[in-house]
Amino acid sequence: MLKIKCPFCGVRDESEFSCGGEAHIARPTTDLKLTDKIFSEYLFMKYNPKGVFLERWCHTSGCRRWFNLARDTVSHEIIEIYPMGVFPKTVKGKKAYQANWRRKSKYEAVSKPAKRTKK
Amino acid sequence: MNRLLSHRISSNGAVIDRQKLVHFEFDQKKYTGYEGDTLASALLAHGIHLVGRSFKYHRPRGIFGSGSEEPNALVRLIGDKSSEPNLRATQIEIYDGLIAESQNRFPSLKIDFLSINNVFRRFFPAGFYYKTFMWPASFWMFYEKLIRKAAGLGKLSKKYHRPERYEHKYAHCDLLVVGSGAAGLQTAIIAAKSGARVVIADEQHRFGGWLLTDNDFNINQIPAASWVHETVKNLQSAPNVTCLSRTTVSSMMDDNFVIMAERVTEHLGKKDMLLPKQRLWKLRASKVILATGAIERPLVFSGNDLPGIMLSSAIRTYINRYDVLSGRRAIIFTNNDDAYFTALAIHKAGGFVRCIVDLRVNPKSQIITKVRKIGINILAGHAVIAAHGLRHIASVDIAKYNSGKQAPTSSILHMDCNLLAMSGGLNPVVHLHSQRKGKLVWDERTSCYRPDNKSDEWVSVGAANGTFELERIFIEATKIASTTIMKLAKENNKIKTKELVTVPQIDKDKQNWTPLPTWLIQAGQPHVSDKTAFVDFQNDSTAADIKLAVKEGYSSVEHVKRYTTTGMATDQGKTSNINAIGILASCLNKSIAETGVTTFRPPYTPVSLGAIAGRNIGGLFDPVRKTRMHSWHQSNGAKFEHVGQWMRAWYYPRDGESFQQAVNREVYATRHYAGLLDASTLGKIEVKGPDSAEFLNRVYTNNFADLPIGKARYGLMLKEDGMVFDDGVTTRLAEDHFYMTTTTGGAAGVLSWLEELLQTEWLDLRVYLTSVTEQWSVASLSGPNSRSILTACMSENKNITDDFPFMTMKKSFIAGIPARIFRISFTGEMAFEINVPARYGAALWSHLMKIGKEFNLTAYGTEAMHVLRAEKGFIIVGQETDGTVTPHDLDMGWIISNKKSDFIGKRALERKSMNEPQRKQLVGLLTADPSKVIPEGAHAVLDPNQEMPMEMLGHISSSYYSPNLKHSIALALLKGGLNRKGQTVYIPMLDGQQPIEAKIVDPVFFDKKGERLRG
Amino acid sequence: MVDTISRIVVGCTAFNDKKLPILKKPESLKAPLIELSEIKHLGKLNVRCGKKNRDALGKLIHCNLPIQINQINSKAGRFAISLGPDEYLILAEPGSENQLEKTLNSSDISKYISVVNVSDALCAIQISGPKVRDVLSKGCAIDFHPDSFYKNKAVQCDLALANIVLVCLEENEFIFICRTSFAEYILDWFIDASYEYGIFVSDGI
Repeated sequence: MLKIKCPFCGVRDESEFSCGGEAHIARPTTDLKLTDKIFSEYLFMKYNPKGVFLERWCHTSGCRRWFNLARDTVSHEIIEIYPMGVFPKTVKGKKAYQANWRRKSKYEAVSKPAKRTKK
Repeated sequence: MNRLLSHRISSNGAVIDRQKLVHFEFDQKKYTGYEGDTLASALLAHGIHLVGRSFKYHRPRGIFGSGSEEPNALVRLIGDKSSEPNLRATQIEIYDGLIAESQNRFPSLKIDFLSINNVFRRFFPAGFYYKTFMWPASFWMFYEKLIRKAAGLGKLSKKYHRPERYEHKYAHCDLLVVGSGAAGLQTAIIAAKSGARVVIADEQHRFGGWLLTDNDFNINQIPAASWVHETVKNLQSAPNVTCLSRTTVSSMMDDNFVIMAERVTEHLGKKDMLLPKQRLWKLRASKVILATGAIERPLVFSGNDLPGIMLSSAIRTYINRYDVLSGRRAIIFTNNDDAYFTALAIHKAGGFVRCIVDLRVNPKSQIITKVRKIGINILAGHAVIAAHGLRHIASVDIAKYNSGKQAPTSSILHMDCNLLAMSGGLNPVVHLHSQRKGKLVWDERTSCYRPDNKSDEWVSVGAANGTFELERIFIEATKIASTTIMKLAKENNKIKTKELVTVPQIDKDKQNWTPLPTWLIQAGQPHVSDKTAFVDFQNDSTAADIKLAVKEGYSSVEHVKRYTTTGMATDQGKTSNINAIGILASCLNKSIAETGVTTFRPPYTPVSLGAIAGRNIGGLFDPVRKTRMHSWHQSNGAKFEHVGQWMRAWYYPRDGESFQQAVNREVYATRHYAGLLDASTLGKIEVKGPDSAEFLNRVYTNNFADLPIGKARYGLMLKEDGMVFDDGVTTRLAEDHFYMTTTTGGAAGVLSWLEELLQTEWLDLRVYLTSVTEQWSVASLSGPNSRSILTACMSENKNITDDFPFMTMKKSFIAGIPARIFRISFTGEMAFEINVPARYGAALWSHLMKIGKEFNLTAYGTEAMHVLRAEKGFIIVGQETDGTVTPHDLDMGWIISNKKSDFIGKRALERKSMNEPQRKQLVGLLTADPSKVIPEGAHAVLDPNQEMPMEMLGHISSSYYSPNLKHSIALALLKGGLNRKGQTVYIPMLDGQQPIEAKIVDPVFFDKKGERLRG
Repeated sequence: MVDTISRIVVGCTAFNDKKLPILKKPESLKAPLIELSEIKHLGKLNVRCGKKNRDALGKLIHCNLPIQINQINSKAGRFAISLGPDEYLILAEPGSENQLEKTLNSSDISKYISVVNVSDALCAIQISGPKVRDVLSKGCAIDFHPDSFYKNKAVQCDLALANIVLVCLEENEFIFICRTSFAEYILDWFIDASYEYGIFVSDGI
């Protein structure tokens, strides 16, 4: 069982958290008029890499806040924990962001996800 | 001395108390032992070796080891009310009144009918199970029964209620030391001085590890036993150290989350104790030091499983700790120096060591010289190629041996004996290291797999690290303890690093730790078969099985393990794994390092299911949540149903009423007079903030921005895939303030989902959500008389009920209680949902029932609620929907706003496949026979006479008898159902019953225009 | 009418269906080592507010909101517990919560904050005694060493199968707040977990 450092409550057991899957998938707005095929990339296709993965977690049993986390799916090492709405800062985290197939997907090309730098 | 105790020697064992006699029973016979004895040592003291029959062939098996490595001596402990199978006799401490019995034998240990399997051994080769499964399926039914009877280990207690207490305990520490041998004690005592929070755990009942067996030397000029005693005393008295004996560290997981099973009172066998039988520790340690020691390897030769053949280390342990000499005419078979200490011990104990058979051609060391001086015969460059005996070893065949096989010209030496000590080298206990995905490296010098020690979080030390010589163990332990403390001190400034650390000095006979790896004794004799050369004693796999697997094409160590089941028994191959790898490697002509090693997985030794469950049993299995009206329901005879964790009143049978009669009465009363439902369990969320309206607009399919203050609206929530997720009524309390209700079961999920959207998707929306499910108790008053009852209950402003339109909310006082009253309905009748702060819930309910009496008010439960809503064709999320149903499928297209540019699920609903006409759609069903109620979950077909498998049209989601229509009604999801109204479908039944015929109709069965609702 | 109701209301607390007091202890002990009681009808407000309005809100409550998470502040009988970066639980003297709610909701900053009365949704339970940390550690993964769980520290966590807010008042004295419908389960759990220490559950304050 992992130890996860909640940005607000500090280090707690994994059992207090829930994992919300892949991070940085921008929800498309309907004005984009996506085709079914491109929309299905957003809806169904999720990344599952061996190595560093950027995912969303929620401290369910604690403060109920969501945050992002860069985790190595092989060693379970947590590389970085960072807030919602921003991008990873570590080299490994940045690399993982770029390595995701989604960055080159038609969906992102069309949707140009709004830059969410708001904190 | 009692004749039966003749295997006790007269010296003073380190761990038993010769003053305290203990009486116990094994296989219906009474025996005695001493306090501190294990069941194994006590039985050996009586000359009993045979304690079990093997798993596959039912061969006689004896006590083999002295600790958790024991593969054979599995017994069942019988208690007053329950029994526990598969416990290792080598780890059971005896107590007065202990009753144990052997397993896997029928009818008795000495005569086992199933040992016929032994004769038919050739039918049970490697991969036996896989091969059997391949036979025609019809044969399997026959074989299964036989195999189930013959195979398996032990029997479960049939009583599921165990009177014993098992508890859980969470703990945290800076350093966990696993094992209390020389390495463990040395690291723990250094850590203790640093002020760090230390936990030291050992599976044995006393600290000391191997120093309890070998201690005829001095440490720091005092006897080794005294050094152990002093060190343990110092640890126990240190406030920052927790000493846990009888505690098996069974699993070590990510970030040093460690599971330990502590046998707190199990060894006392007493009842009504304050302390639990076992305590399962869930420990989080910053660092872990693994000082888990090593386990001796057996040697693999023909007949090596006979009772009386034991690990050399075990024989020595029984002598030195328990004063038990396991046999008086002993032969030692070894490939290393350690067994010479056993020869010495047997000799000292008064036994006769006939000879030492050493595989090495020219072994030399201090200890060998000492043994030779005593006059013990050493046959160097020899091997035991076979052991003989019926139920106990009687003799062995010894031959000259070199270059890995019996020398061709050698003559066979027959020698009788009643004890054979074997030693094939040592395997470090790397299980916990391996569980943490730590890698193993093959060490040529010591011929063992040892941990790579590359982690920063845990480290192995001493024998667990492949360091077997005591003087080197102390040096290593001291160094590793110091480095670990330095690391800890960096994170915690309370930990001191400046403590004088010294390495203990010892005066022990030097041994030369270079065993000659020999994995299988290859006999040159045609009558000596490796089909009885056992590798895995518990799963009965032999050298021949491994050879066969290789012949059949298996080469990966992981495949061979599974195919032959070697190392897959409850002992997880503690004694067998490395020998199996060795044999496999030589079959494949590879080195051991090339062959690789299998992964050890948790637990180290089996953990009782009782310990895993802990106190989460009985009433504490799952929290039961009750509403504030619960006592009223209870005292009025309600039957309850569980809805999630909530307990809801299901129906209220009156004197002698059946379920159906009670429900019919409640439904009828609500439609004709008035009914009262406890709706407190509905999820309730306060939505507040300037962007609340916009937020609701995005999460509901319909419009909420234009909802006037004081008005309520039914809303449907979808997930991003367009499927119905939840529904409920939301009311606008102020411009920026809404009150949302959700389904009972969906409450937590909806709040999480909405929080997720706000925190991860729409960070710009200023909205706060607060769960108030339990702040409000809710009584739902429904039926033609509801308005009159409400008016009568009002303590002020009685006239507000005159102008109280459908889907509005008013705040007022009922019997002096501040209330939010919503005119909304789930029954299709005029209805009011009265919300009051929960502390008044019970009072409100009683008051309404009292005032309502003259209006024929009847309390109704969830079953009547279901019937009432089904009569109206109202859906229940989770019953009519299952995550694959869209609003269109429910014929609820009207609730999807086409004015809104976006809401969750909007784009998905536009997908082509979502408008497929053959999707399952919601319809009503009326049965041809009005009294026949279709079972929920049944499937409908168009033609009941078609061949199987039939083409399914869809399923019945809700089905009830409607007392108002005097007709059975049902809701169903049928393919293309919306266009099938008027068609007839059939519901095939089980057990040869006639299919039920039904007509597809509109799902609204009652008051189609909704006049009663708005009235 | 109000009078008849209020009489019923007084007995209506988290441990509704339990017959209190309860005393369970091993014969060998003179007195139980754990004491538990409900702090009845304590006012509880869930307050949401950003950093900007934190100080203003503290003034209105007469008790500063803690800046650090997992902390409590207390003043004049009021407690402010931080639950998250913008979430606080205010404990107020019984009966004062409605007025406090009104004050906050009619203040200048009411637009930017959320104040929700959760007095009946949650209940506060006091637990004390020399073995209180040992009992808690049977069901809660938090580190109860006095060095890491000290006075005025608060955590939200799981206790056995329930979610709670746990506050350390003194070395051997804690308050925890849980959903009312879990109170009976938690009481049963404490009675069971205190098996070897003995427990006294009083009728509450």
